[in-house]
Amino acid sequence: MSSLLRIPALLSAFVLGILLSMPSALAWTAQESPKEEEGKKEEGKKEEEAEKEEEAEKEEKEPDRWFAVIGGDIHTVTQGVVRGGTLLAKNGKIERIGHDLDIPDEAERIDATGLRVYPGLIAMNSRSIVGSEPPEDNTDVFALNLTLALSTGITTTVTGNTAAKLTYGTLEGMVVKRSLFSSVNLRGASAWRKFREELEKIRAHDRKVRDFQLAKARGDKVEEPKAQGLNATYVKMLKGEVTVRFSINSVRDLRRLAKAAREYGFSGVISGAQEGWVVADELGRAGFSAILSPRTTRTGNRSSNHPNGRRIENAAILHDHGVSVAVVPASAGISLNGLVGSDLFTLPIEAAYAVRGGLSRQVALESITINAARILGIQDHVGSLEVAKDADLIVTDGDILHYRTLVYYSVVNGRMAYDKANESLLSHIRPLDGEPRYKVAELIEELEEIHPSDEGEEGGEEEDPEGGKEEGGEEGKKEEGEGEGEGGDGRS
Amino acid sequence: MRRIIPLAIPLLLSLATPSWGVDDDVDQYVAIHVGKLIVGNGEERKDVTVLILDGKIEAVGKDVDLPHPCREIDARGWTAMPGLIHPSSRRGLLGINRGGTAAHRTISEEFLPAEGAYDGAVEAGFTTMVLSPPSGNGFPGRAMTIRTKDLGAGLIIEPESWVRMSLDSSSRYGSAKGALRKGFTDAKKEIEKVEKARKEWEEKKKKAEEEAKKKAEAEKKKGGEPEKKTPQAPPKPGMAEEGGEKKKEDKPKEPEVFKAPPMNPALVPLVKMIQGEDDIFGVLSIGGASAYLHMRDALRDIDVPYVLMKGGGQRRFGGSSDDLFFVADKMGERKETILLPPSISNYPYSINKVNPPQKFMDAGCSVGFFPSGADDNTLEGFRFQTAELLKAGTEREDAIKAMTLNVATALGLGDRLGSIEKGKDANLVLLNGDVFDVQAEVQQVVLEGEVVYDRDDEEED
Repeated sequence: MSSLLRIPALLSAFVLGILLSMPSALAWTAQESPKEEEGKKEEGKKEEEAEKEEEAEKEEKEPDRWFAVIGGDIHTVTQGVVRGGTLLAKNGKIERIGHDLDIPDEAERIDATGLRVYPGLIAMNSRSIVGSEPPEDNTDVFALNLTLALSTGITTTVTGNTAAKLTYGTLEGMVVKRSLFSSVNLRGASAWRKFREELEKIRAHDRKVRDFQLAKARGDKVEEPKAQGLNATYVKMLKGEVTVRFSINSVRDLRRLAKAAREYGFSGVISGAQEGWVVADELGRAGFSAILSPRTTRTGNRSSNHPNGRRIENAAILHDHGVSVAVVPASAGISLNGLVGSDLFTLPIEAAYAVRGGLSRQVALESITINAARILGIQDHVGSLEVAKDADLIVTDGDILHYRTLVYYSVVNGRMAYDKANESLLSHIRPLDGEPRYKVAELIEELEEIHPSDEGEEGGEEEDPEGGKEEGGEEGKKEEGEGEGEGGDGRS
Repeated sequence: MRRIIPLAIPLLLSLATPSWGVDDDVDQYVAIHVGKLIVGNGEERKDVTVLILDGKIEAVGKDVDLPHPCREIDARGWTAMPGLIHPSSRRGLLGINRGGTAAHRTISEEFLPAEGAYDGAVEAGFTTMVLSPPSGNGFPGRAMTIRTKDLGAGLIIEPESWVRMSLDSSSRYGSAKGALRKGFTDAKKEIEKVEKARKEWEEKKKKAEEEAKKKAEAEKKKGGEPEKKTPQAPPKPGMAEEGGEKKKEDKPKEPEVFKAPPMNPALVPLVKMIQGEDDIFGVLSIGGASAYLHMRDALRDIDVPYVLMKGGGQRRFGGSSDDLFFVADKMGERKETILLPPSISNYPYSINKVNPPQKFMDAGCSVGFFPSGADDNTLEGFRFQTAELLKAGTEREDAIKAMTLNVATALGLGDRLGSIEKGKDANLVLLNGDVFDVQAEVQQVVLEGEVVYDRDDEEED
């Protein structure tokens, strides 16, 4: 057979290989000469292999991961509250928020009826929750501290200079952003002097550059000024390329900073800002954000003739003057040393203290969610419940700022990271369906059967779970606190 | 150090001469009649004869024709099980610190066992032991497989067996992970280096060949009949070169064979692991669930054969507990092989008990057991420790397999150890009761056809 004839024959076999299965292609070519048959066999094989590869690729591609939180009051933080709504997440991103959504059958579901849904909280400072940098290489994703933080509602934290998520049980999707801040150390008068000198140098250089550009535009022959001996961090700061974090607390230093910022035109994040309320106006005008702990209060120096001291109103006053506020506890650790200790175990309560100081509830909530995210520059991923953002959320039985509120579920990247009912820590406290699912609770019940105690009934157990929660606020808390205290006494 | 090396060398050399079996009478048949045979693969048979020749099992069955002459051991009242294997111990080793990537280092440099160092192991039924490098980040070296015989030439089965790797650290995974990554990345670089050199060499060769061809053709055109003319032609420059080519072809060995640039010896075992040569594999001691995830992350792009071994890294909260079984499903998906002590542990942060080996079995992993230590008491208690798992729901069949054949298979010794089957090494432990019976004692231990332990003898002494 001539080569001309062979080509179409081969082509047709090729097409058949695609359309039909391998044996039929062979059957058709069986009439041809053995040489051609061989060629076609190879073609067919290739086709088959290609098909197999395609199939393998399809198999390798993981099926979509759906996660649905159904029937809760969804506090989106940025877009109001969706009452009795449903949040649907696909592959770790929020797909839809609304009512009567079509939920795929394979979706993992949380029934949040009667519960509240919030975005996962952001802890701007943390110690030993996720590992040191790089967190994806050092984190124990089954650690007790991780579970503790999740039980508080924290889903994103900062370790070193990296924002990382509390991805329980997986290393996937842990890092949100690296190189968050450039830190500038300004302690003592000489440091401030140096700081200003450096800024002045940069400004002088900028003037030279401007002059050079003007001269060049005029057509003069001038040499381009060289950028030598300039502090790279400050250059970037003035250009707004990096976020600089200043750890400053005193009025004097804050005022110095605000002044420098106004003069040289920069902004940044102030960590601490304990006496910020005194210079709130200046800081606000300069566009600073503040990371602070509302509970850190101290009477000011009375001999000083200008206002000073650390006040619980700090957060509220700063916010009122345009300073974006993020709240952190005084301690970056997490532990069980006291239920209302000043550590990450009580992050929402820390924000509640800001409410006590006059901050609105909404802003207090923002201070541990979206404001924190904005300061970290990760507001496109976390901090609020919006479509296309990460599905990092918590489901609670009440106002997240209330001390009695418990987190029932924490979801990170559309994966269940904490289910209270399945953890030994808090599963026995106010279980959702009245029956603790975890065995520890059963053990406790067994023990109580063996050693029946009358005090157990008196203390705590009979408290109305709804009582005081709706009122919230200072008074409600006080009452509840006293109630708890009495219960505790009775028990002991 | 100075004292060890000269001693180690003869031990290594002993490998060259396979000297197993009984000293003089090589062709001696041994027949052991046992009341109950625990084969090791899950099967159990009654009233069976095991025929042994030259250290190997020749036949197993009810009616085995006994050849003549044949030494018979009557163990009709006893139970026989395969000799146990300890997959990782440091018994009889000196202890030398090793750091970083040193995958080529062998045990022989610290192998200086005292007389009777392994007697206790034999008494407990262990006929094979793997001596392993000390744990630590990176690649501290290769293990060595030995028989628990008396000291002598025939002690070593494999002087260089698996490569030790680990990811134990419970607080900082980064450094261990980095060491793992670095070792294999460097090994890959070595491979690339060789590949590059080979390519260059091939191109060079191709060029040379083409040039030679061109020249030959040019000669052809020039001379018309070069084949005849060439030898007669007067020496021209072209001619001389062609002659040179011919010379090369005449003794091609030197330039034709590709000489690979030397590799870093510390990385050679890793290179072989990547390339799948010599059946080298790693034994990766793994601390816990997070360690496993980090290990998988570190070896994401590296496909090397390895076996997992439960290592350090505990969670405390009312007793010891470990959380590796948290990722049992993920391990099962990958059909991992895991060696671990057969122990019940606490569910992390609680007093509830879990049976981790069962979790791995349920998930589809291949599970092998090893004693949590290598001292006499732990080795003797191994059977009873395993028995506790039966109480916690593990099937007898699975437990026995995990004690014997699975360990052998995991270590790549499945074709000669781990069960009492035809063609395998004749390693048998004879007990006067069931393997899980606390009162049953090891009566005799047969190591490659030779009775190396006899309780009667010991008691007479």
